[in-house]
Amino acid sequence: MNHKTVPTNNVMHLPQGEVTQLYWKNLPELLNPSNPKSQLLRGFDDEFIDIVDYIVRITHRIWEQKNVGLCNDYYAEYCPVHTLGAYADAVSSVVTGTLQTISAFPDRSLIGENVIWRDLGPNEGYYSSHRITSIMTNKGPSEFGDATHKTGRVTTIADCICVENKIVYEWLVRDNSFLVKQLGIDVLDASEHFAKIPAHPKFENWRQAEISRVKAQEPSEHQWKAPIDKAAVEFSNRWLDTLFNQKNFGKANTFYHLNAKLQWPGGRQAVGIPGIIGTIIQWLAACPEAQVTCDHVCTVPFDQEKDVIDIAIRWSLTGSFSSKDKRLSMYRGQEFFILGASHLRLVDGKISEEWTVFDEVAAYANLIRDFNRTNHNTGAQ
Amino acid sequence: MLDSIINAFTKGDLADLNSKMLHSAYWGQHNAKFYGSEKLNMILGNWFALTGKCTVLAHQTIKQNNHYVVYLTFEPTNKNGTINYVFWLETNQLMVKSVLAIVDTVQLAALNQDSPEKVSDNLPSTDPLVISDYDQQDNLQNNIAWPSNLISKQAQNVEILDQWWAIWSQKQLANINTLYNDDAVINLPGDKHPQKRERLFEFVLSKINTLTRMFTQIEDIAIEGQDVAIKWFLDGDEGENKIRLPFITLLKIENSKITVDTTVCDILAFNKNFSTSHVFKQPTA
Repeated sequence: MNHKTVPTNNVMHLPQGEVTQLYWKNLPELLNPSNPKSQLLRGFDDEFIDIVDYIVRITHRIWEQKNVGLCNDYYAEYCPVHTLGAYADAVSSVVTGTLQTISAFPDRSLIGENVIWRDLGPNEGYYSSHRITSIMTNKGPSEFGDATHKTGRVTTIADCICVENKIVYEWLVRDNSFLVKQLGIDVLDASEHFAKIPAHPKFENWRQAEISRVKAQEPSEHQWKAPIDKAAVEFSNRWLDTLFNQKNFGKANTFYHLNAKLQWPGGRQAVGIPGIIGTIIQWLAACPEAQVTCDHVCTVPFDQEKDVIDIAIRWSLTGSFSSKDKRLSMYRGQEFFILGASHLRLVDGKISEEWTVFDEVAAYANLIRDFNRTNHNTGAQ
Repeated sequence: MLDSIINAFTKGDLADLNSKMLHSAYWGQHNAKFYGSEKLNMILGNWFALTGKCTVLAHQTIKQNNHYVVYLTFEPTNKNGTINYVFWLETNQLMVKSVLAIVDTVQLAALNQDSPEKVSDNLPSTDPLVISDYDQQDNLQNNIAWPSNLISKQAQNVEILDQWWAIWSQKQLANINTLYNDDAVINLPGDKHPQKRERLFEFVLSKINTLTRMFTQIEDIAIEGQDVAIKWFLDGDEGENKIRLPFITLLKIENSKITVDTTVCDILAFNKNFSTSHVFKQPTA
């Protein structure tokens, strides 16, 4: 990998090594950075030294300091936000959603685990993939049901495009099945409750378009020509294609270290190749014909001396639902769709840790909505 | 770091240990992870409620790269008995990023003459855990981690560590006699006093005889001189249920023989997580 300063499009890119890295930094240091500016950040407020600093500090101000109105400053007026369960594109919707979440989980604190980013070019801004651990107590009604008064933890990955001090596009994935289990709610009960919330027509249009795109194995429309480490992109595509499209699990040892650690939604935990293969097989068995597309990759060095890099991958998966679970059996044959995000830490070219996040609650809710819609249209009971 | 842990768990010096924990740090114990400002309050509050004030009877540390393993034997001031506690830290020597701690909860219960169920009821809820089923056989693919895969081939005692791992991973019980010194000191979970190596034979055998499709996985190894720490877990089937039992083992290897084996696991947290398991229960007639 080349992390040296290289001129691209007449712009001198600053070395990645100077950009803030969260792992060993404490919160006071992150909120009061003393380092000089390490990225150009054209159009961003002068106070920010790099894109990681921007993401960390605006997240803290909005969520932990409860300055919800700052969404108006840090989100564009028109900002599409995709989740697996909903769609919004007005900043007012972002404010409303943030307020409602804080109301249901008033002590929600967001711990930044990692920000993996990409410089998209001087006029295109930055892509950031922010992995967050949230701890929160459910004190009010939420999209999953009535208040449970229990505390839970959840992993979120927020992929944002940031241009001139504003987030202009976002893909947000949250491990809601892990959260609801801690709140004492059955995952399918949470999905049934969630399915009662009407979906925005634009959400359904987007989901159907994405299902068609992934089936056709077409790339996402969100592509940039900005330079990126080709080896990381190639690894990411090969990882998804080999394990999810080709289902050649015998090749897992070419991607994972023998003691690699994996965190998947709902509390799936594995260490080592047999357990990792098992996790993927058991999950794919509910959608055996699944096809996946690699929609975006970004990568940053974690430890340049030891050849350790971090990769963020946003991906989409679709296929015919074929679960053998009794409660899910009525949805067999329906289109299953997942918006997923994975953060990988590679040591010497292989994965040592993987965090994969998607929203199982929303994925099942979409099956329920489709089922109800079809039966309503046909008059079936 | 050692002083900070000792002062926290003997004197209740929360502030010093807290100042060394990153905001993003977590504390893993009793099969759950705790984040945020309350994590140490909760851990230490529960500890002092069960032990009262205590002193450290023995300590050992093993440091390698960002791994820092601390093994402490506590002796409460006003109660009879000792408690083994192991802390596996990820640290850059200045700040702590994560702690995996295993305390011998059976020893804690014995200390208070409480029924294990009473102590178990007071343990925090375990994190949701899904152990997806998998093929536990290697099928000649070299997919299973051995100590020699994870440490330098030139490292001291590599072959001994592989043979030690075979006791668990391949049920090679005969290695206990060949690897362990005649008078090796064996500390096993729940035992009040150190045992002879025959007790290790029985301990391993009891797991083999209770579980089918048993599989062991090494997570991390730290080596400093003749001292080795291994973080690992055991999976297996009990009828239709799959169980997972996390361990930390500390070995001392002298003159190519294991002279001390301290293996800790949290039996009461395990029983809480897998309430139908018989791994640590005597079969009833």
